[in-house]
Order: sequence, then C-alpha cells, then structure tokens
Amino acid sequence: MQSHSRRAREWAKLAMEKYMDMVYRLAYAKLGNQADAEDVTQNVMLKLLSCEREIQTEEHLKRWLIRVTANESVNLFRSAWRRRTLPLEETRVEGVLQDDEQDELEEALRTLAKGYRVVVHLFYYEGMSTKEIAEALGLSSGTVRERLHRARRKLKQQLSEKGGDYFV
Amino acid sequence: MFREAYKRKMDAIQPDASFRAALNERMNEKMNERMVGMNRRESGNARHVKMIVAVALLIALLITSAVAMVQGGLLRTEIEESAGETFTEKVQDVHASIGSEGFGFTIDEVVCEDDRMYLSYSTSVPDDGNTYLYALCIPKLNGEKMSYGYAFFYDDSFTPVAFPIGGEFGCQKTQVIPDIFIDSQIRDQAESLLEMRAIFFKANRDIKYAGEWKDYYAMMEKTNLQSEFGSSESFGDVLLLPDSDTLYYYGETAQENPEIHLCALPEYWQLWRELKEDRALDAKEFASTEIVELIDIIEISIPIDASETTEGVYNDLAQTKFELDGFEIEFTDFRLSHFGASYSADIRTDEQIPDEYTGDEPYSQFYTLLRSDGSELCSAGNSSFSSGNARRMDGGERVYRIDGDISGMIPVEALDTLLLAPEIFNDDGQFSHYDLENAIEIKPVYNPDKPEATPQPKFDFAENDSLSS
Repeated sequence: MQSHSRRAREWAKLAMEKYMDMVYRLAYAKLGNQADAEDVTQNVMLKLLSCEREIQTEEHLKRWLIRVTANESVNLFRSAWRRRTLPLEETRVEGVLQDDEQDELEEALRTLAKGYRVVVHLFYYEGMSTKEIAEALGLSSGTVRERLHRARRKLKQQLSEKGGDYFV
Repeated sequence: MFREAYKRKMDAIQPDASFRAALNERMNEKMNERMVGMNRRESGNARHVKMIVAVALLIALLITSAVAMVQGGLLRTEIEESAGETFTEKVQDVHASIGSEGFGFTIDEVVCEDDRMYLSYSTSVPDDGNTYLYALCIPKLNGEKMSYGYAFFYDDSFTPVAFPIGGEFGCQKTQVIPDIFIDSQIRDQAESLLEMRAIFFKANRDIKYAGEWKDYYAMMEKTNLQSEFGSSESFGDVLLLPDSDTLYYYGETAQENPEIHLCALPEYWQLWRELKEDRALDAKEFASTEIVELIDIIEISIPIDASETTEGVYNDLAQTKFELDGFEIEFTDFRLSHFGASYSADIRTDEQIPDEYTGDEPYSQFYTLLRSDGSELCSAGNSSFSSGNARRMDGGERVYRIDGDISGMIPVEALDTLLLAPEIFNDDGQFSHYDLENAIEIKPVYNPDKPEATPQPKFDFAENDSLSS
C-alpha cells in the first residue's frame, strides 16, 4: 500500500502535467493578468504538496484545484495596492481575437464581479454544470445559478451596447 | 457565440515555458524535501520528526500570532485554524485603519449573504483616564447612505447616538452593524466604495447607568416639539430627559454596550429648531453646546467586493453522536454562520418514545446552542426558536427530534467550541436557566466535502448557452 506522501507526490505530478493550464486560466479569468495568475498557480501547486487531506480520485483532485485556485485568487486580490496597479491594456492577448472583439469581451468581463467571473469561466470554458461548479466551489447550486444568471444578464447588456453579435 | 469567443480568448492564455520550468523545478525540490521528511518518519525515526514538527508548529504559532496581532483579525485567525483554507475566504478582511494622537478608527471585516451585509469596526482612544464619546455617521456605499436600523431615521451627517469609550469603559471597542440591506446591483459590481466616519467627543457631563429601560423611561418626559420649542412643523411628541448634569444610558446591566441617546436631550432639539428644522444637525454644530466638545472626525474610504464577502459557514461537527444518561443524541444537520445557527438532532432511547411525552423524560427538553462559557450565542439581533417532537422514521423507528434556529449576529470571536444545553423552565412556564451540567460540548468544523443544502432558487432559468435568456 502506498504511503500518503507517495500518493501526494503522484497527485502533484499529475496536477503539474495535466491541470496546470486549468489552474492558470482560472486564476487569469478571475484576476485578469498573467503575473497574478502565475503567483496563484505556484501557490496552488505548492499547497497541493502540503495538503493533509487525502486526494481520492482524479475528479477529487480537479475539484480541489478549482476551489483552492478560486480561494488563492481572493487572497491575492485582497491587496489594495494590487487592485489598482494593472491597467487593462496589460491583459491583452496578442493575435487571438480581432482587436475590437477582444476589447469588447475584455471590457465586458471586467465589469463582472470577480466571484461571477469564476462561475462564467467554469461554465463556459471548463464546460461544468452548475451542480459541478457548486460542488467544486463549496457554494449552493442556487448561488451558482444566480451568479451565472446575473453574469449573463450583465454580459448581454454590456456586449449589446457595443453592437456585438454574441447572442445570436 | 459567446462560448466560442470566450474559448478562443482563454485558449491563448497559458503559462509560458520559463514559468513552467521554474515551477517544475520548485515542485521537484519541495517533493524531494517532503519525501526525505516522510521517509524518516516511516523508518521509525519518530523522535526526530516530532522535533521537526514541534519546531515547525512553534514557528507557525509565532507567525500566526504575529499576523493576528498585526491584523487584529481574531475571527480570521480562528477560522484558519479550525476550518482550513477554504473557510477563510468567506470574510473580507478589510482592517483599514486610520487615526492620530491616540484616537483610532478601523473597519475590520465585511460579510455578505444575499441582500444582507454585516460590518464590524473598531474605535480606540488614548489611555489617559478620560471618558470620551464617539458617534458613527451612517456609512455610505458608492455614495449612497446604507440601509439599516438607525439609518432609517437619520441622514448621514450625524447620528445622535453616542457610545462612551475610555476610562472605565475601556480604551478600545469593536462594534458591529448587522443586517444592512444591499441591493443586487452592489452584488453585481466588481468593486464598491465603502465610506465610514467616526466622530469623537469629550463628554462634559458625567455618564451614568440609569437601570433597565423601564427605569430610564420613568425619568423621561413627553414633550411636544411645537409647543416646547416653537417648531413650525407638526413633528409631534418626543421623549426627553430633563436638564441634568448627567448623560444616562440604560440596559439590563451597566456593562452592556452602553448607548447614549443624545436626541433625548432638550439641547439637541433646541439646536435643531435654531437651525430652522430643515436639515439634520451636524456634529460640529452639536459640539458647540456645553454637552460635548469635538475632538476629532476620522473618515475611511475603502473599496470592497461584495461578491467576495460571502457569509462564512461551519457546516458540520467534529463529532455528531453523543451518549448521554439513558439516551443518545445524533446531529443530523448543523450550520453556524455569522448570521446565526440552525441544527437538528435525533434522540434515541432503548425505551419506546411515546407520541405524547409527559415532560418528565430526560430527553424531552428544548435545547439551545450556547457559547462555551454558557452565554448566549448572539449578542445582538438575537432571536431563537427551538422545538422537540416525537416522530416516526421511514423504517418505523421512533425518535425524538429537536430543531433549533438562532438568528442574529455572531460576534467577532472564536467559536471553536459550543454547548448544546437543555433549557429549564419554572412551573409557571417561564424560562429559568440553562442546564450547563447536562450540556453537550460540540465542535463546529467546516467540511468542504459536505454540500450545502440547496436553497430554492429565487428564480429559475434554463441552463443553456443563450445569453438572451
């Protein structure tokens, strides 16, 4: 039977190989810049190594990573200095979307409360259901559905004002 | 469309190669360190490992204490210890502090649940033996006066409710404002600006305890504003304390958080009349009376994110089943938050539980949650309900189920141990006391694997990709 430490090591290796990008993108979705996303990714991975809770399955690992990433992003965001230091332009990703489209999307996402950005990301990018999101974040399904609903409403409003055709 | 555009955008977001390499190296290093430590323990070198752990714990304890002292965040510290990393994120630890010459004002913590906000703040005065007063202006969120208790009656210039501080009242106070209503727009915003203002006075009158409300009320006189002060507006009657050299406060005990209602003073209304009745009194104007002397006005503005300040919750117990004398209590539900507690427990005995109990059965009592010292859980805004009923389970088993619901504000302090105590009533049915000798000690924990009971959503919508829904 493997010891807890060896299993923890294997889970950590799996997390690095398979889930680092997921952690990084989730942190980015919430914080909006790559430097902060790197900090969070590092913190999450190091936390996994010292996690006393036994990870049972790969699905368990994924949920653990999602929740701790969301929480670590809050910690990072608490710094009042950090809140005001990064201009929007730094978050532009070159060559992915048309400039106008990227600006519209970026600006619309920026208007969302950070708790909503995580829900939007997990729903639209990771393809998780509201139930799965609720379980991963430790929220009730009702809260997740409400956040998603409000986020959609706000995104729709923001993007419609800019003439985007995201809702066809 | 949105999903595709979002996916395109996020697909391009990934850690760069140098970051991956650096993190891989760091992780390998940490894994090796950890393996060395674990192998020592596994090979039986327990003494050595214990020493390492002890030193690490000591260092962790020192760091934790230092952080707690610096931040003053007792709640946060306790929660971190008992509930792990997932619990701590539920409270926005503001701790924005400002002050000079010994007068300090700090916004401590902000918590939200749905449309309610909870705010805690602290004030401090010099330890010079003097008694001071402070009054809080109604806080503002995004420039709008917040909605709660006193805020419904006063504008944001000056709330004529003052709290004594300093001297015998202690030089530091932490207060809470519960049940502030916030609208959904605040919850949707990425950032809101919270503004708070504390006004410090020096009292020029003695401050005395008047007794309970009925004693205080007996001292008051009903006065018609129009006839007494020549008010041109039909403002009706007010209760005033007659002229005296004393500022009185009331409460069940003298130690209860004293509030001095300055608007019970004739001088308050006299000044209000002189100011033509068309606006609220300003603290500076009030300070020109002989009652008080203005010392300082301290303001704090701080950005907060309501979506990140979700209520903190203990959702489980470290031990759920307890053997007592002749019966067993098993908790089936438990929830403790900043805003109250709810619990259910089933009682089982070897004997048949009757439909109608006589009240003599040792288990057939009302039970309530108390703090570990036997005091009540909530110090403000408290209401509680408990019940006990015999019921038949699906398999035919009979249990006696107790349910409790306590709503109110849980103060900022450690709650790592609670008591579930029977309530004892007099023959006339009046509550007598809590039976602490037969109380059960329980330890609330946060269990991330236990899903919260899903409340009924306020509204429903199809889970699809359409933003136009």
